[in-house]
Order: sequence, then C-alpha cells, then structure tokens
Amino acid sequence: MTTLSIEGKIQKGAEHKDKGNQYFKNSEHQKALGEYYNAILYLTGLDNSKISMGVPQANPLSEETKQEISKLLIATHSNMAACYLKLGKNDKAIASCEKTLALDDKNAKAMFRKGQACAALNETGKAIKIIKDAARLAPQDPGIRATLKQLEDQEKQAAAKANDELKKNLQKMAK
Amino acid sequence: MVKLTSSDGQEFNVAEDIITQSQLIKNMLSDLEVGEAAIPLPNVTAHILTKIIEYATHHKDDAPPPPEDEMKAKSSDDIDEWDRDFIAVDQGTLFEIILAANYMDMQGLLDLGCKTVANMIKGKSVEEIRKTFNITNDFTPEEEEQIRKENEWCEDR
Amino acid sequence: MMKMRQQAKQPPNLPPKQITALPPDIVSRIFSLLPVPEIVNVARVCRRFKVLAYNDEVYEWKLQALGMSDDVIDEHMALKDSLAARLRKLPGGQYLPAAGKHLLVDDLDKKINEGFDAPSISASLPDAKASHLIIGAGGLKAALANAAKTKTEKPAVKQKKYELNRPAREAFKRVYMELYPYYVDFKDKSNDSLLFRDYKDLSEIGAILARLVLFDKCKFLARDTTDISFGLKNTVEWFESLLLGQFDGAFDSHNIEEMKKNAHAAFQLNGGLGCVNVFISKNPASKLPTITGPSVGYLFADEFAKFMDHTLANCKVQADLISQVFDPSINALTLFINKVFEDSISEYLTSLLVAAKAREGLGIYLHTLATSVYCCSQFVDFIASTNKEKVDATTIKNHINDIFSPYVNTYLEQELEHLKKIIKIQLEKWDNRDKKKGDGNYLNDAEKASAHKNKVMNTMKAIMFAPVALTSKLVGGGKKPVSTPLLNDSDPIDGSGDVKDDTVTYQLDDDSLNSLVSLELSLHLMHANKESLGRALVITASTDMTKLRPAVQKIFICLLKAIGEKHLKPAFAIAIDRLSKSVPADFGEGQKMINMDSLQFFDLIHMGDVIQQMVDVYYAEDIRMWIDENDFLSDIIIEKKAFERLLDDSVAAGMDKAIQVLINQCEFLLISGHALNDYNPNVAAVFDFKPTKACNQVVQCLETHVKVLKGCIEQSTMEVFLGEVSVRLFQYFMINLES
Repeated sequence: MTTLSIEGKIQKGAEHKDKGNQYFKNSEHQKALGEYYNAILYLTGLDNSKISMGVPQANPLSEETKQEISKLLIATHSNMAACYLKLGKNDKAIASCEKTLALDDKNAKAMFRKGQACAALNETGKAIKIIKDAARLAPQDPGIRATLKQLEDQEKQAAAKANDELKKNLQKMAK
Repeated sequence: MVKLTSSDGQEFNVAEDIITQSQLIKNMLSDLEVGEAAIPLPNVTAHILTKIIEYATHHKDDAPPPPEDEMKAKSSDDIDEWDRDFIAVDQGTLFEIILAANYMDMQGLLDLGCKTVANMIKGKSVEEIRKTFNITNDFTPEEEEQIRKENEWCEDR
Repeated sequence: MMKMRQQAKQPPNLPPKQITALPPDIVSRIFSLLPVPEIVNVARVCRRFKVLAYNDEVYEWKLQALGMSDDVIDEHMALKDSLAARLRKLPGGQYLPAAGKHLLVDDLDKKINEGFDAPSISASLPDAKASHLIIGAGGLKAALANAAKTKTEKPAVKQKKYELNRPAREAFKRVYMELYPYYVDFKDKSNDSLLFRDYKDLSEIGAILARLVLFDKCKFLARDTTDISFGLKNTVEWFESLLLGQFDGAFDSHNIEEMKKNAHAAFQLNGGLGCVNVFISKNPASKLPTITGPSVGYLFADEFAKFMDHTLANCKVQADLISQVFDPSINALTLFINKVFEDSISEYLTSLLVAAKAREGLGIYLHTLATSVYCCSQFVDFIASTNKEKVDATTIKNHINDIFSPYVNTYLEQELEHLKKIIKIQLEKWDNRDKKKGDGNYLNDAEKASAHKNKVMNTMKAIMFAPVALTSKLVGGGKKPVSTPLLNDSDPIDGSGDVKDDTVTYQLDDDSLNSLVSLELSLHLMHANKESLGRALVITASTDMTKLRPAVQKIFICLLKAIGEKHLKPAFAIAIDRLSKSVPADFGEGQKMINMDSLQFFDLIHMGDVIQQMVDVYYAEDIRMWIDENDFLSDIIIEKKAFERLLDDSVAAGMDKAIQVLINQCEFLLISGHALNDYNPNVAAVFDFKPTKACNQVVQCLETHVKVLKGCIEQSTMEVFLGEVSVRLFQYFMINLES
C-alpha cells in the first residue's frame, strides 16, 4: 500500500465522516463513533493543517485545502459530541465539543452540546452559563432558548428545595 | 493486543497497556469495539511508529503525568539518560517523532521532543540557529535591527 | 500476522522534515521553554518565528507562574489600551514622558510592526469622567490596583490568534521590566539592595519580594542564578523577621496602626501567617481555669458552660482587634479560634470529661459530653453570626469534631451500655420488690379503669415531654421537679456527694392489681431512654449527621427489647402458666364471678395495652421524625413490629387458656348447681321457666369476664372469645341434654 497523498487522505477522511453520519442517522451511535474516529485519524496531523492564518509558511497546503480539512474536522468532532451525548458519555462529549470550539469558536451547536453535557452531569450552573453564550451566538435558535429556560427553572426549584430542607432540619434541631 | 497499521502499510502488534499511553488510541479503545481490526495511522510511517512503540514500551510503567501544573516553571533541563539517547536522532526523525507524538496525543514524548529542540536552540546566536535548522532569513537588516531593539527589555546585561 | 520489522529506513523519496513542518502551537511551545533573553534570537530568525515567538503561549504560563491571573492581564491590557488611546489623543501625547519610574508606556507613536496588523484598540473607550485612571500613577502595583477597581469593558474585538502584540507578551514585558532590575541586584546584596532604596512602604516591599521569589523560581535567565537566589532568600528571611519583630513590639504597646501595617506587609510577602501566629501566641485568651474540687453531677456541665461563656467574651474582644489589624482574606479570626479550641478548650474539655467519668460515673459523663458538644457548636454559631469579619464556621466545626472524635466514637456504645445498666437495675428492683397481690378492685369498674388509664397517660406525657434541661444555665431552668432525681438512675455513687435515692415514684401502680408488670417501671425506662435520645441527638447533630438515624434506632430498639422481652414476655409467660394450672373456684355469694388467675391475665392484657400506648406516644412524638418509616427492612421498624406482635401473640396464646378456664368454671358452676335431672325434668313437674340459680351464676360469670375484657382487647379478639365460649357452652349443654 502506498502512502496516500494529501488529497487521498482528505478523501478517505470525508468518506469515513459520511459513513459515520449514516450510522448516526440510523441511531447506530457506536458504529458512527468508529467511523468518526477513522476520519480523524486521516484528517489530523496533515502537515500544518491547523488553521494558521497570517503566518507565512514554507508549506504547499493551499488555503482552500486547509479550509476543507478544517470544515471536515469541525463537523466530525461536532458529530462525535452528539454521539457521546446519546451514549451518555458526557465527559467525552464535552471534550469533543472543546475540540470543535478550538477550531471554530463561534460554533453555536458545539457550545450548546457542551452545555447539554454539563447539564447531564448536574453542573447546572456551568451549563446555564455555556448555553447563554450559545444563545448569544445563535439568537434565533428556539431549541437553545427552550433548554436555557428549562435549566434556569430547574436551578430555581433546586435552590428553593434546599432552603426548605435546611429550614426543616433547623426546626427539628430546635425542638 | 492492539493492531496498528502505519501509513506505508506495515502492521504492528502492540500490547494494550503500552499503546494506551497514546490518548488517541486509548480513547478509541475505550469507546469502540476494535476487536480484530487494525487501527490505521495514515500519518505515521513505519519507521517512526517503531520509535514510538520503543518509547512507549520503555515508559509503560510510568505514572501518568500530573495535569499541567501552571505554577511550576517550565524548563528543558530535566531529561534523563535513556530519553536522551533515545531522542539522539537526526533532525528529520526528531521532527517526525514530534509530529507523530502530537498526532497520537502522547504528552510525555511530545514534551521530550520539544525540550530537545529547545536545547538545540539554547545558547546559539541568530545565525547559528538559522544554520542548524536550515532556515532562510526573510527579514531586511533594518527589520531585524528593529526586532532586536523592541526586545531590548529581555536582555540580560 | 507480520512481526515488527527491523528499523525501517526513511522512504528515500521524501525530503527530511524541517522545523517548518511543525505546527505553530508546537513551535510556540518549544519557544516557551527558552530562557527569556534568548527569545529575541529566534524572533530574529525569520518572520514565522517572530510571530510564533510573540505568541501568547510563550508568555501565558510565565504570567501564571508569577501569580498574575487572566483577569488581571485582561484588565491591565484594557487599561493600557484605553490609557494609551486617550493619551494619544492629547496634543503631544506621543511624547508622554515615562510616568513615575515604573509605569513605562511604549512609544505610542512608533510603528512597531511593519506590514503587520496594528494592535487593536479597545472598541469603546471608557468615559473620561467615570474613569478612575490616575495618570502618572507610580508603580505597576498602583496601576493594577486601579484596574482592579475599574470595571472596564474587555476589548470588543478579540484579537486573532497569530497577530502581534498579544496581551500576554505585553503584560509579561511590563512585569519583567519591573522586576528584572531588582532581581539581578540581589546578586551581591541583601537589605541594601536597590529595592529598599526605591521603596519605603512595607507592604509594597512585601509584595514585590513575593513576586521576586516567584520570578526566581521560574529561572527566566539563561545564566546561573544561584547567587542571586541566595541573596534574595536571605533578604526575604531578614525582612520577615523585621516585620514580626515590629509586630511584636506594636502588640505590646497596643499600637494598632503599627500592627496593621506590619501584618499587611507580611500578608503581601507570604500570606502573613507569621504575624497571625505571633498574635495568637501572645494572646491572653489561652488561660486555663482549673477544675475546682466540689463539682458534682450536673455541675460538671455547668462548669463547662461557664468556661465557654468566658472564652466567648474574650474571643469577641480579640475578634474586634483582629478585624482592625489583619487583612480579611487571611481568615485570621478562624485561625485564632481554631487555636483557642486546640489549646485551651480541648485541654479543659479533656480533663473535665476524664474527671466526670472517673468520679461520677457513666451517666454524668454522658451528660457532660453532650452538653459540651452542644456548647461548642453554640459557640461557633454565635461567633459566626455576630462577627462582621467572616469566620469560616465549617473549618472550625471540623476542628471541633476532630477534638471530640475520640469521645464521640465511643459515645454510642457507652450510651447503650448506660441504658442497659439502668434497665438491669430497674428490672432487678422490680424483681426484688415485695410481691403483693392486689385485689384489682377497680378493674371491674370500666369507668374507673379508663380514668386510671388517663391518669397514667397524662403522667407519662408530662414526664416525657417536659423540656429537659441539659443544664439549668443553658435552658432557663423550670424543669419538672420529678424529672431530676430520675437522672440519678446511673451507677450508685461511691459515697461522695449528695445523691438522692431513687425512691421517686409516679404512683402509677398503686391502684393496679398486677404484680407481674409495672407501669411505673415502663415509664422509668422510657424516661431514661428519652434522655439518652436527647444526648444522642445533640451529639450526632453537631458532629456527624449520618450517625443520627442509627443512633436513634439503636436507642429505641434498646427500649423495645427491655420492655418487650425482658418485662412483658416473662410476665405473660407466668400468667399463662398459672392459667393452665387454674382450678375452678367455688364462689360464694357476692364474690366476683371470676377466677383470680383469669383476672390477672386479663388485667395483664390491659396493662400491656397501656404500656404499648405509652410506647406509641413516645415513638410518635420523639422517634418517628428521625427515621424513615417506609424502610420496612430497617431494624427499628422490624423491632417495633416484633414488639407489637409479642403482645398480640401473648394475648392470643393466653386467650385460649382463658377461655378454657372460663368454660371449666361455668361447667363447674352448672354441675355443682344442677342436679342430674335438672336437664331432663320430670314430665309431671311444674315448669318454672325462670333460669336456674346455676345458670344465673354462669351468666354473671360471663358478664364479669366481658366487662373486664372490654376496652383492652381488640374487637376481633373479643368476637373470637365470645364465639368460642358460646360454642363450647352450647356443646356442653347439648351433651348434658342428650344424656
């Protein structure tokens, strides 16, 4: 097997990503993850493939190629995060979201998913902050707003409940 | 045992507890049912993969590195003997190792590579650095002087 | 399966990798490992390297290592940008002289970056009037302090990743330029160094020294800095002892201003704990009152309460002083209180508890322990709530828990041991009493019976639910006089002290017949149990809430077992035994138509019922709230059900025998009252359809029984009883009539 050229690798990467998307649509999340991993194996580590605008380099990769690679990687990491969320692996979801955001810090979907993962880990305060940022990036998205409101209500209820518990305990003690 | 395929088609068999020093592989194994299939590493040649496995094998009993301690000073003075011998390779290989360690997410090896390069730079003049790494100067003399001036504050008199 | 090949050679067609192949973040990472003076070397190599050498990654960890957080950097940059921009607007702004010696503003006008993007200025300048900027403020510290006060907006445009003049480099440059001259000056000097010539204010010196120590640790310079480190270390030590000495002197002369100055400088230097320790060790608060001789019984607890009051007053005074002298973030008050607990309070406590245990016995010891736990937690709560300075109540409480833990660990066992002892004593007392057989007059009278029951229940409620004072000081006295002596039901005290003999009774048993079971005893047991419960609640609530439920359960179970198995069960066993040996009696006129043994048995049922009700009330009032009633597998629910079943089973077991006895009695009456041919009278005799005398007696007998049983057994049992009786009587008559 000859070493693939850069284009060859990009193509392979894109293929794996598409396969992953297929699996995801069929709710076969585990298999989707496998394909996404493969995509990443092909797409990362391509020499200086990290976006480095404005830095002059002695490197043949053209702007378009770099953009293409970046787009594929963003999509792949983002979808991996979605898979992890469905599989309940919230820590990994957060890690994937962060990788997506490292490539594109305005990706509202990734930020939203990160918030969802935090909420699933019961870090409601943190989740609310993150989802607020997501809402700012994508103010039109109804899903984000709905989830944000839900979490804020949850937080209020929890605080009220904690207060009541404390009061009850204090009253018992006072007896 | 885990199967890896280098970019030039070579297959390697590595014990799981050794290769999981690569966070990339570790995550894959924990998430997926890899089973009998080989993991393709299209950006690592067999030559480099061999070195990587050599490093991982020697360091397999190391405690996992602590999370990056922000307050600790970073230096390049603390390379032990085995590592020094291991990393004494030609420049091309050195950089490939660094790239592969980055790709496979192996912090220890990446650190070692970076420290080695830093040591190659330390103590050298500008021209010597250029020579060592075969870099062409794309500054005009005025520009270069400018840079020197605006960094005078760093000078250790 | 292919094995690992030997070292494969690099494929010859590809050129070897250059350093330019490395991704930018790795190159920056490499540069960040270089000594600071050599960074300029790589910056001059080529354009790419320059950008990467200026990158944040190279400087950010350095700033962190020097204790500068991101917020400070951002604010500083915002400050610098806005300051620079505003100054640039003023005429001649480009010639702004260096303000003070230490705020070095860049040549604002100069083009620092040919061909690269200009540094972005804050998109919105802060309003000039609202700004707190002090132009020309001397010193980096002042600027930073002002930045912290000003709430400036972060620059609206976030700079792109690889542009020049990223904030980290600028911020680092400032810090470096400020610290470097002082740092290298320590090479051959210590307290005569440049730093002391330039700065006179103690706090500023302290802060800068602290920064220099960090600077030293980072080893930014390429050359060997051992001698500088040495000089710096000596200076820091000398400076600290200077501060402590001055603080000490100021403390002695009550000079609060001086104390504050030195404390603050120490705080800047290294957190300031040295001064706090001096303060604590010189403090008169750690005086220890001795335990005076005649403390006896509950006075032990009172002594402790008094001691705590005294300590509290002292602490309040000190707290005031502390808030004036020390920086709030040191939490000096917390440390002080911890020390007070550690030194004086814990010593006093230990000797107190040891004395209590040795001289007074388990009961007093437990009481003292509970009181002291309670006092301590009150102390902390009071301090925390009345202090303007923040006190970390949790740390103190943890500290207290540590002090108490050796006692608390064994507490529950000791409490249970104590309870068991009391139970044993009570039971023995009961066993050894004069056994008299009452005549159970009242039981025939249902009204009198229920009146008696009410009296019992009321007495019980009054005793059990009156506020129990742990000490007369803490909860304002006013306890029921009856309760105090009961608390003496612990080990008899060896001679010393005046201890009341526990002859107090509640007169509960006097009217009752039963010699097998004592309401009085039950109440005593319940009362002791409640006291233990009270102590356990206080102790576990203050130390470890998780132990609360198990403790409550164990204590209550102890009671159930004592009353159930050790008292009621044997009593029933005896009664039932007597029943089975019972012989029908010959009643004269006017006597109650009921067998003595049956009477005793029924009475026992009655008493058992009352006791159960008492236990239920206690449970409902005091126990139920602490446990999970829905946990059917928990010990306490199981035990309680067992207790109830015990009664039911005993009643059921005895009932059978009681019925038998009753039938026997009736048979006897009928046999003795009727002649043989009463059942089959002569056809010729005149029929007198009045019931015979014997029958009357039988009826009376039955009535008596029913009356006695009424109100103390369940409806269903009653029905069974009546049913059985009727069936057997009927059978008897049938047999006789047929014959």
